[in-house]
Amino acid sequence: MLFNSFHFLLFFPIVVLLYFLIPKSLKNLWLLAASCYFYISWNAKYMLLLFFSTAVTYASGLLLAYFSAKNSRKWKKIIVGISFFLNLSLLFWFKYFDFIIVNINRILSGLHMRLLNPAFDILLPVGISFYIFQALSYTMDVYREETKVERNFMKYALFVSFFPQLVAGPIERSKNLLCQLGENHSFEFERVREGLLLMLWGYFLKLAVADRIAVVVDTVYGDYAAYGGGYLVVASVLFAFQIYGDFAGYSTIAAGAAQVMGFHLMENFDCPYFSQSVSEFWRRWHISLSTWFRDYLYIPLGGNRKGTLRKQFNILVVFLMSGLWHGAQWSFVVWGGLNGVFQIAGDCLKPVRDKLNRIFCLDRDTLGHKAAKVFVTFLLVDFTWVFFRADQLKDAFLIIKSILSVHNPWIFFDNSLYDLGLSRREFQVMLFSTGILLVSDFLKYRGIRIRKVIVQQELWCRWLCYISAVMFVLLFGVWGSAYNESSFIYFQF
Amino acid sequence: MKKTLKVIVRCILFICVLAVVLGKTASVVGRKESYSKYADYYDRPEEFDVLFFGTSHVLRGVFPMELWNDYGIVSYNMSNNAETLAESYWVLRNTLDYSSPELVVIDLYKISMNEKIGRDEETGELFKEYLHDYMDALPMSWTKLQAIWDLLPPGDRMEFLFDFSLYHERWSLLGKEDFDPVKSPEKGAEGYAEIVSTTGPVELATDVRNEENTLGKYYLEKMIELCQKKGIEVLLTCIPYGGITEEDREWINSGYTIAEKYGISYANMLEEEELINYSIDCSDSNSHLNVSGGRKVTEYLGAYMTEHYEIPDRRNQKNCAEWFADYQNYMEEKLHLLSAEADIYKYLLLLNDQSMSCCCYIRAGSRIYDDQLAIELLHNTGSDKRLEEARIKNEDYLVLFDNYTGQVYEFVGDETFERNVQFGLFEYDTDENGEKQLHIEFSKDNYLTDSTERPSDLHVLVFNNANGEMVDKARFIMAESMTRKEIKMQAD
Repeated sequence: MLFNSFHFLLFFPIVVLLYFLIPKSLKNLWLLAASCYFYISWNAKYMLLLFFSTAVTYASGLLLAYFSAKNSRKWKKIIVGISFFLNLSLLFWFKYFDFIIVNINRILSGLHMRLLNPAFDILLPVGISFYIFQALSYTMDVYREETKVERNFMKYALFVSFFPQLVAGPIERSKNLLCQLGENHSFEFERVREGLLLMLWGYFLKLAVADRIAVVVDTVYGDYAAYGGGYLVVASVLFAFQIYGDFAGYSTIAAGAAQVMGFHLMENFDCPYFSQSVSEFWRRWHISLSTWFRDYLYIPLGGNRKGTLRKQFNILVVFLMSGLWHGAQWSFVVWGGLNGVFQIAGDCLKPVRDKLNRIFCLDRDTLGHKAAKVFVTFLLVDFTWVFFRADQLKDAFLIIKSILSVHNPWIFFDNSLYDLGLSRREFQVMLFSTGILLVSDFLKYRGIRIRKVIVQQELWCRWLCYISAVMFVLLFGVWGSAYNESSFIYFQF
Repeated sequence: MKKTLKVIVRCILFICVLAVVLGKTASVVGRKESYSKYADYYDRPEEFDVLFFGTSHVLRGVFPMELWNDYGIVSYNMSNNAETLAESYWVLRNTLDYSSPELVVIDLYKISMNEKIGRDEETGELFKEYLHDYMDALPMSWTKLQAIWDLLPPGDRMEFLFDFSLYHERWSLLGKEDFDPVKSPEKGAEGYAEIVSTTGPVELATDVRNEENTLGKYYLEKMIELCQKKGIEVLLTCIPYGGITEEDREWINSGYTIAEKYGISYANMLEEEELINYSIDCSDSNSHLNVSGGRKVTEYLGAYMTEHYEIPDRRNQKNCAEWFADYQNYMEEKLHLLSAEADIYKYLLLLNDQSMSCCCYIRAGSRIYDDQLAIELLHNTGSDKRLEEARIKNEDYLVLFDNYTGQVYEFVGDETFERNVQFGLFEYDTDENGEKQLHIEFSKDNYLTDSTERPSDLHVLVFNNANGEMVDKARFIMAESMTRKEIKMQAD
């Protein structure tokens, strides 16, 4: 079930209410049952995959603990290898098999040969990339002895399948979440209120920002040949906020839902569009995935410990893998690669930038300098989003070509932008909602949390804020029957 | 404990405030069609003696305000566009939660239907929007929940349980009428003035019947049984429509079998050959009736119900005083539509109304004599053989339809007229220049004067029967191409 479905709005209060009412010994069992129901409501058959991944990593944890006690490093490596092999095979089969076959066939077609018919039409199980990465993090953490082995299968299964973050993250670590599953969470008004406010903010991001923008972006990208130049610029800029609202919206709802029940999930987004470099952007965007790749790929590859060239190679590998994780398409690989290249270029050009700063006596601490860096970073990141959003790699190149070659600045003045699927009023509300998102992120960047400011106000003022926020989302959000519950973008990963 | 109680009270209060704000917002952004149609019903649901159920054929074919004015029958048209008998059953079930009518009238047009809700033939999508026209205004109740569960697949129920989920997106379309909704004065009916010529039903003996069981028949029988259980009389009808095939007629004839089974009456108006003129009484290619056809059906039903049932005439009862005010509103709306109408054919169609009288003048040599439809519409209004005489002679023609007394006065050529009627003293003659003159109540104004270079083809004066006031003056100039490019002007 989706977070923005009536099904969830019925499911969640029931789960929470019973969670607080039942004895502590039954709480984890109840949450596990709720999580299974949550996942089964998409597709019951794929529950087996979730169970398989859970069982393999659970068993690997036990075996790792056993061989750790015997100080057998060799067997520990074998166990980790088997766990990674089995889990990644699952991911490969469901996510990358068609991609590989299609590309091999493409190469063999030059020799008039064909390997296999790629028409398997495998439906990607919801959230497979997320829960497999979460389960593998546990295997690695036990291997590194950074976390204790979990012997209670039910508790471990709940760690892998915890419904708020099951299908689209954040990808939690056993160090953070597993230990919380043993705690006794009772009803605490302030914590529940904080969780509900987080969920409300998440719904705002998803329904009022992302899904409203999606109408424009889908219209333009769906027929980019007809919408050249300025239209594509507008759509590409808006897409940056769509994907942010969409993914951050989901993560925030997940964090809020978990917080209502007493769990603290890691922060997944931290004002990413106020980053002053691409590498900073990746420390603020999809933090749970970035840190996963850092801890379980970048560092094992050597990180920055084996020289500059190796470090840059490692960065490139990590981002190519990150691109592939997002989707089995060359456009995602190029997207990841570009992000890696921008970071490597940023590193390489640092001495040049420093010299230029000295020559022109530029003060890096001025607001203008920082704003310029934020702007350039946004441009670079938004450029990569073109590859992310385009249906195929060749579409991305054609879109970039159209942006550079078609000259139609009048569309910003002659109301043409109101013919992209949204009326004038809807377009204005979309811009207003996006403005709220930016202001909120700016305040957060400056250390001001709006939620905390609101809860410190008097009752009437708090209620006014809460009710206004709820009504804003309900009125201006895209939801309900006419909306058709479009899937969260990140579910396909 | 005290703190917990405080938190609980605050939460409950907050939810109540939020619910009130949400409810108010939902009522503003909601579509107003359902409210407009049913507001009058829910204001006084207990007072109706007759309730009509069925499809758009009933919606456009039965005018409760005309029944009130002509027969004193207090009725409401509960029908909806594309309504199946399954939907009608639930409309009836819900209605009987609020009303106890003497008679329920059910139209059988959808008797052959085997689905609970109609579908668009091209897209296959359910006609949910029509169901909204009924459901939106219906207060939430156990019966409404049962209706939603029975009629709709699971994925479509939420928009009926909580229509804000559908209508919240209307915020960008809000206008004055959303904050100040307007009630329809027609007691659930909808009149249309379009004119489409179509063919009448094929002939078929009433004993040729399609006795196959359908979902439509199943729900029809449930409706009849429900009414009989509650002691309410049931009348089955088939309101006429054009282009009826033999197969349609076999289904419609199966209504006789059901009527016989339950010992109830069946007013199959397809058998009334003279009732509808299919060349002018239909409004579209689906052969719905227009206002002219609808008024004929309403008149027929009024007479039928008065003759066969003991439906009280409420016109003399004090507790029905509001109906006179409602009728006044209805009349004003009708007159407003008439005076706003610029199409000569629609205008002539709207003149076929027993609640108003009119005087029409056609000058000698008028193009209107060459227009078969206009002539037929004048006949429909009440013109008799003398119109044909004037047409053949191509001479001046004046007719006064005095619906207050039921008299029709017609004059051809140089005939003069001087008579005191409900609307004043009418003087019609020719002046020394050979120009026709019409003066009313000693007025110096000649109502047949043309201020335009080209003389008008048709002059019309309209009077309200109730108070004798002149409510509209119009002149029409027919275009040379004889298409509908005629010009309507307010008389000088």
